[in-house]
Amino acid sequence: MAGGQQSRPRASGWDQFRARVAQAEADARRAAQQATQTLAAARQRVERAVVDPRVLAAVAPGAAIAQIIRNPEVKRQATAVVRNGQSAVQAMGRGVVQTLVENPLLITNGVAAVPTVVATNPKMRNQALAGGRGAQDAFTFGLGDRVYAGGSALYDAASGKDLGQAYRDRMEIERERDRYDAEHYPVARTVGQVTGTAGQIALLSPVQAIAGGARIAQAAPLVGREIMALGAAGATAGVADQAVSDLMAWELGSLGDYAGSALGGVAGVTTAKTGNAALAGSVSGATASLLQDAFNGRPISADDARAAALIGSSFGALGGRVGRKESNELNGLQKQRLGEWVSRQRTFVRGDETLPHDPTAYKLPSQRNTYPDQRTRRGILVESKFGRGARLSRNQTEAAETLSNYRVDATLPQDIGFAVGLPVGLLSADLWLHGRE
Amino acid sequence: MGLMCSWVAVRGVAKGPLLEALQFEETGEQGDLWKGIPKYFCSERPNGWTVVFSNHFEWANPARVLELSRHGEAVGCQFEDKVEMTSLAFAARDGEEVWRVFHVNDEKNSKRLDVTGDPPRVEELKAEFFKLQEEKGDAEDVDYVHEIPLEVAKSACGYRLDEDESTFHIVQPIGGEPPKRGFFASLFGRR
Repeated sequence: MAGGQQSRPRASGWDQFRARVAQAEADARRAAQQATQTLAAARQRVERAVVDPRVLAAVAPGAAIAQIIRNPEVKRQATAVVRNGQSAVQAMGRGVVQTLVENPLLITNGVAAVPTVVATNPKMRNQALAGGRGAQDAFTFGLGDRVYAGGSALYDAASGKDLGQAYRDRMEIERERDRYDAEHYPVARTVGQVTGTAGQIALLSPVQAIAGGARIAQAAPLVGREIMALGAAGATAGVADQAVSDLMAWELGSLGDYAGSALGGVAGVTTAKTGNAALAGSVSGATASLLQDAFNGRPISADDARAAALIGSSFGALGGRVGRKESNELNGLQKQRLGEWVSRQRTFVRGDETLPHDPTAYKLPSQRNTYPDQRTRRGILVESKFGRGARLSRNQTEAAETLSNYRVDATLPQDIGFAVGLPVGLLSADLWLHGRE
Repeated sequence: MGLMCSWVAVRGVAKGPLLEALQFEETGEQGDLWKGIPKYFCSERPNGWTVVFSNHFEWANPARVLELSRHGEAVGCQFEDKVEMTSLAFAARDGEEVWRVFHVNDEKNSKRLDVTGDPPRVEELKAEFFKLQEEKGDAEDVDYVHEIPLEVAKSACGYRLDEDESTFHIVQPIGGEPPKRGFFASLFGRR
């Protein structure tokens, strides 16, 4: 849009989106009240019946899950939240289309035109600046404003002003600018803050940079049942983490808290392929925060989600490092047993059964023998590997190439790190989310 | 239980004195080499060597081979293909090391091979398996260099596990085997 023209009113799609969010929030608040009353009554019954807090921790998540499954009103509200999310995405899509129509350079020149469009379009330029300031604030935990104010105050003091007063004046300017950005460019500022937090999280990944490595090419990929099992494990970790945080606060969380944490665990598991526990902790923490806000009828707080992501990432990275280091430092026999244990779990999840006896030699076309670690009831021969240095031998390669029932499981220390780091990261985020309430 | 085992072959001593030196006794049974941990097996070869096999990687270590070499020429072999593709072949005579060939899959060097002394056929085997490793091993995540110590040991005494079909007899330590450790005891026990 050329300079000098009046700014257009906000797109109708944005108003529709805001109205839908407000409706969903009201509906979710009503459903949350009903669920809370039901859960409070259940809690009283449990508290009368149970003395051991460990039993309470075991029962409460189960009761919460049962409520989720059986309560049609909660399911309806969750569906409404998802639908509103879809509407928001559609509204944003319409906004993008409108931006492209107003700035045809973006269509003809693509990303390369962005700097030109931003420089010549005052509205877009201001949004970009707001986003940049948001990123700086998030990345520096707000210290960037102080540093800038301090530097400017020194300049002012050199010109004759009182240093203390100059710093206070400069800080007030920075705060006023932040308030203006939050009021006039909330989306751009939030996107910038998220970007800044993402930068902090990216710096955390190297904390667990130990014992990483590539999986051998012949390793059997995860099948659908295993992916579903991982999702279920993530949900279980989320419920367990919420229960632990409830225990530590000695306060039972709401149905929405448990549901949010469970789905946070599922979201964290989607990053399993990266083996990055810091990433898993951040995704699970942010997801848990956003969903707990939605399910509990609270305004969705991007700031809380960012904080939960950063906390989840920090502790996820530490847990990931411990898991990687400890598993990598096991001796050869221990690593072999760990790898075989993982293989037994994979076989079980695939709906098969590991036979109790060790298989004997298996004759190959070359007349040499191969000695798989396990044989399953369905006749699968399983070769288990653990560690970055594991490769296939000549005989194992021949078996992989010639036998259709040969499966290679290659477990790495980063897998153990992920399994440790994800629940630790999500637990830390849950504890923080508990404290903010 | 996968391939994480060891064996020692001795020439110039009969089976009875060899088992006595190891403090083993025969059980009178024959069996497969993979049933249970730990298990020991013994086989007298037509070429004069007697092989004692163990499902335990640490059993036929160089110290044991040196000790047994006081009774006759001894060759030992340790190998695993589960974790780091470690393979070691070791020969001794009269209590002294004669040669040694060692490989482990070092991530920085897939062709790591430590050789001391003059093992049989080692240069010929290096040429063959290094070429295979360069041509396809590195690209396909296969360790061909792991084969070299096994082939050297076979050249010395004629025995290689995965090519042998002969009958082995179960032997055991005099007084029985130590109790089996549980999974967590072995996983988190002494390293």
